[in-house]
Amino acid sequence: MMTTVSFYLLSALAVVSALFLVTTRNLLHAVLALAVASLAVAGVMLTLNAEFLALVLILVYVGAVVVLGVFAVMLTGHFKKPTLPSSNELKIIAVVVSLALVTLLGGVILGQPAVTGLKEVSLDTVGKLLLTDYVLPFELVSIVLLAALVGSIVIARGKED
Amino acid sequence: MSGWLALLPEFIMTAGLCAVLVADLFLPSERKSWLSPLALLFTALTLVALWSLKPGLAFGQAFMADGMGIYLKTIILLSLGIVIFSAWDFEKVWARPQGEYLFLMMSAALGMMFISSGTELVLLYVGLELATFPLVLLTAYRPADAKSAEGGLKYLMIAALGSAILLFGFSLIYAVTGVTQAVQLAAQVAKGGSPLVMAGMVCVVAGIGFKVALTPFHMWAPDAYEGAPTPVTAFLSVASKTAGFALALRLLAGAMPGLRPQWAQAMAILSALAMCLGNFAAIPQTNLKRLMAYSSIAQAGYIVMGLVAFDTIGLSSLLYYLAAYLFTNLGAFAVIMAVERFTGSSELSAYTGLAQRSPRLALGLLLALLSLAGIPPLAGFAAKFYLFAAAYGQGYGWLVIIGVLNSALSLYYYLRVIRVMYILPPEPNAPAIPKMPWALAVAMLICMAGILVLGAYPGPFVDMARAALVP
Repeated sequence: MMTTVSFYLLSALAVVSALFLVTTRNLLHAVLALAVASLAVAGVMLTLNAEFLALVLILVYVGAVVVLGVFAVMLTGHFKKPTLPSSNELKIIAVVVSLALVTLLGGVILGQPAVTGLKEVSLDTVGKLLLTDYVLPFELVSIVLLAALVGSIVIARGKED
Repeated sequence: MSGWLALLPEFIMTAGLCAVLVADLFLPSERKSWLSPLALLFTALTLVALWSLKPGLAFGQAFMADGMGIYLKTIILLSLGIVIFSAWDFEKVWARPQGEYLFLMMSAALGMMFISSGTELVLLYVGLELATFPLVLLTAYRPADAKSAEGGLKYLMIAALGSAILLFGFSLIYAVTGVTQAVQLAAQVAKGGSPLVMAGMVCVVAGIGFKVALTPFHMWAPDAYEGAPTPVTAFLSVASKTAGFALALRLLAGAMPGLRPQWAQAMAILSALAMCLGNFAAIPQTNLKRLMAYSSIAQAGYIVMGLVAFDTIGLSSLLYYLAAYLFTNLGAFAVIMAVERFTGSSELSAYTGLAQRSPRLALGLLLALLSLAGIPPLAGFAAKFYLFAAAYGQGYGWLVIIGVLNSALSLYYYLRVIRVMYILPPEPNAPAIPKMPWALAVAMLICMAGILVLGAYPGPFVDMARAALVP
């Protein structure tokens, strides 16, 4: 009962903060709303017993993405006044398309018979899987990161030398 | 341990990209010209390892070094080698660091190699990211140039959107089937597609559309092609497209053959849209790199027909077209690079009277453009002929009619470039075009030879493509 209530509360919080994120005109508020939305989604994951996913969400989104976003906003000085345009010319189309997508996917997902017999995935299992069955993609990610690092340094260094 | 041997080419490529990065660190700046030979050496070693390899599996069934994987990887590595040749002195021409350029090109190639052989969703996704990230960074490699920055940013946004859609599709498919390996997935899907798997398949088709730049997922291509340094554009247009089709072959043909009627229908519509939009939008272009971007969107439309046909003829024609496309497009870009080097521009006006200023370059571009248009006896004709025949054989007559009409239409804008080169007299103050640097000449000669040989004797190469399909 407790879990169900917190599931719905956290989901509502996630939706509200996500809506605030895309409608606010202040860039800093938007970044902070992203933090709230990510935390709420992480909470939803916790109520569904997906601890690993919840931890990764907090670590990556709140810990890295949001902090990076705050830095970017602060350093570029966009936090003093509302800097985002107040209206989007494609607002109506965007609403129609996203409503259509939600209806379509929601219909499909609700029509799907409930999945049963799911095992709880512990951190232990995830760790073992990452270093056995999925070791190849796991190691490949390190090259992705290396390439991203090298490339972004070259671009950030900027000037044609 | 035996499974590891199947990964030998990938290991050599990884060693190569690390070697380039470390050598760049320790080489004094006057010796930086050693980096290109080093990268080329490792590319050649990878090719040798690839060809001496017996087909094999690694990591359960996550990695399959089968005939198709070897064929696709050969195309990717050849295009890497030819591009390295044609931009031998990248640093001098583009005034940007050479070592990181080579490193990023090689890491993208590594990602594409994993896509070509990956038969497991997680590996395919990580390979896709590795194939895309370095190319985004290379597109924005000249941040001082507003076009490069703009192209890079657009590519980044739209590639991220494409990845997200693909990943969402994977998650829907995994939610129903609970497996990520292509073989098990194919068995699960064959039992009957649930609506959720269908939704996942639609997302996967869209994700592939982003990668190979099919209409309506092509928006990034013109800006990225125009903004990127030309060697990167060449690599983007050939290797990245090949990797996109590798992804399509592994995901749609490999993991979801049971849903073929559905995805073939979707792909046929995307193919028709890409052919029409690519060719119509190419007509008013005045920048040759932008024109090639729209032309490559249309070419992707033709190539998808092989996937739509989905029989041995269709898939082998698709593979054969990729080989023809490799030489044709890289040949065209080699000429664009040469002209850009001496005139500093890729606008059509820089090509006025090229036939008199540099007959060899003009002839090279003439061959490449006629091959792209599909004029016999060049490679593009044979390739297009097989593709159309395959699609017709599977009852896609309407698609073939659209394809043929579009080929005629494409001739118009290819001929417009040829007219500028051959009919118009050179402007009196046009910059002179001296002798080409030897490496660029070698790259161009390889491409021209490829266009002529693949066009005149398609038989052995078609057999090679067909043999690649035998598991």
